[in-house]
Amino acid sequence: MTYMTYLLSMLFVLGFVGFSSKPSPIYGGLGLIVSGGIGCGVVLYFGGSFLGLMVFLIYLGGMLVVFGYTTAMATEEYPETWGSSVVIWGALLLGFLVEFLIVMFMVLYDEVEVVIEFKDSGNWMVFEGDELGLIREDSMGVAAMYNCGSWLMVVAGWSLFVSIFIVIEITRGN
Amino acid sequence: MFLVNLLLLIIPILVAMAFLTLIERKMLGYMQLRKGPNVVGPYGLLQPFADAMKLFIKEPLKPLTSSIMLFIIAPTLALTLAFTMWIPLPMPMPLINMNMGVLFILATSSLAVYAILWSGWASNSKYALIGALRAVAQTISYEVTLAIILLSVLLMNGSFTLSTLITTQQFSWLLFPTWPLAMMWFISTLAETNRAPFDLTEGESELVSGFNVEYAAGPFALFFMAEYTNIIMMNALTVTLFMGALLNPILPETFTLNFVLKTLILTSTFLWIRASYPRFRYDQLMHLLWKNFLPLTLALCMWHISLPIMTACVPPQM
Repeated sequence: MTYMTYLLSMLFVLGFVGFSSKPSPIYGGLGLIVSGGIGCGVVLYFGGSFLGLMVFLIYLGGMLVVFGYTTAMATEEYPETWGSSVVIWGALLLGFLVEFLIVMFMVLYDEVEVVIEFKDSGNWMVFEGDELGLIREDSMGVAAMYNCGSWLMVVAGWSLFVSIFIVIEITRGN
Repeated sequence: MFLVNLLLLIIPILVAMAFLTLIERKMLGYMQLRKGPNVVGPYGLLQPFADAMKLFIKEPLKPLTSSIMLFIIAPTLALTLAFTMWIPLPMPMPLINMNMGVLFILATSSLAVYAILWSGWASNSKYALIGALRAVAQTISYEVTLAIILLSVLLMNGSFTLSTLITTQQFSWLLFPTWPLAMMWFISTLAETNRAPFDLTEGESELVSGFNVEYAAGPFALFFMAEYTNIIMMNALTVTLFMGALLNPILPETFTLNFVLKTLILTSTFLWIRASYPRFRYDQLMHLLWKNFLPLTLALCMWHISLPIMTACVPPQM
């Protein structure tokens, strides 16, 4: 399972490398979707079936509007794929190289550590029946996200808030 | 063993899809006082196979300006997803029994929109692009109501599992307590599968054939198959959600028979609707969804959240 997750997370980053090497917008969308799907696969592998499917659904459904817009707005006569120009090909190759080096580095020197301890998870989320309480992995994951990653959530929310202001400012007509 | 299971799921779907194309042409034919295909085989029964032969033998077109990769990926993705959506459907045994079956179906059906988007873009033709964008806008709009309707139904069900719907509907169809939702659900599935009267994506007079103008032969056949598989799948889902059949654990075959019969009736309703109604105008289509269906479903969703809690009739959560 660890190897599977490792492999998936490598593919995840490779998807990001694919779109950050700046092909045409539609291929960028393709890369995002691939890595989004793989990211949800990683979450599924950790047992968070609810969270994984939910993120997949919302991410793909929500981003579809964006992709639809990019498709409509950025139609080109000669779209750039990953192989069509030396710059993109080079960027892709560089990305692959960096990814490879990081993976090698991690294999040689680093180890994965578990952040979440089980001892304080009791107050997160318990489904209670008549006599037994049940902790479900996926709901617990959501709780863990807000508990352990609370500051990250604040930063993420704030950056989304700022970005919508920037977008509104850019697209504002006079 | 798993491969055998997989094949036993896929092959009947393929056959059903093949005969759905035939029955559609026959029904449309009889509704217009003509016979429909009746030359190839008895009653035209071999017509779908002849069509398939023709389509797969023909040379697939690859327009010079299209981007080949996406052009080929799109139809493959469409058919793959159309088959994938059958996996969690309980008939009464699903291929894979998922806890989150409904979410899985929603996620795959939202992914199916990408097939349309990519095919339209990759064709590098204005007709295809506009057709694809229309299709995408329509499909994702109607997906919003589909999701909210599903949510309110599942609040009565207690979980995202499809097989618990059978237990929920052991005594009464969910159609009775939620008929306004069921009505909107059925209409939304019509729009979701791009069927008449919502088939604006392929409005012949203005868009030639929509997102698949540039496709011919094999890839076109894949789109076609995906569309018809989706129609049957959506109706099967409607049956599971609203008209669940009675499951007798000793004799599960009766469930399957019951289920298939209802699915067939709903599918022929799709065909009947196609023969009867003229196409919507695009703004009317959007108006129907955003100004009629969405407020209604939101209100009903609130109702279905609050009523069980108010009367302390929350379904079992585990």
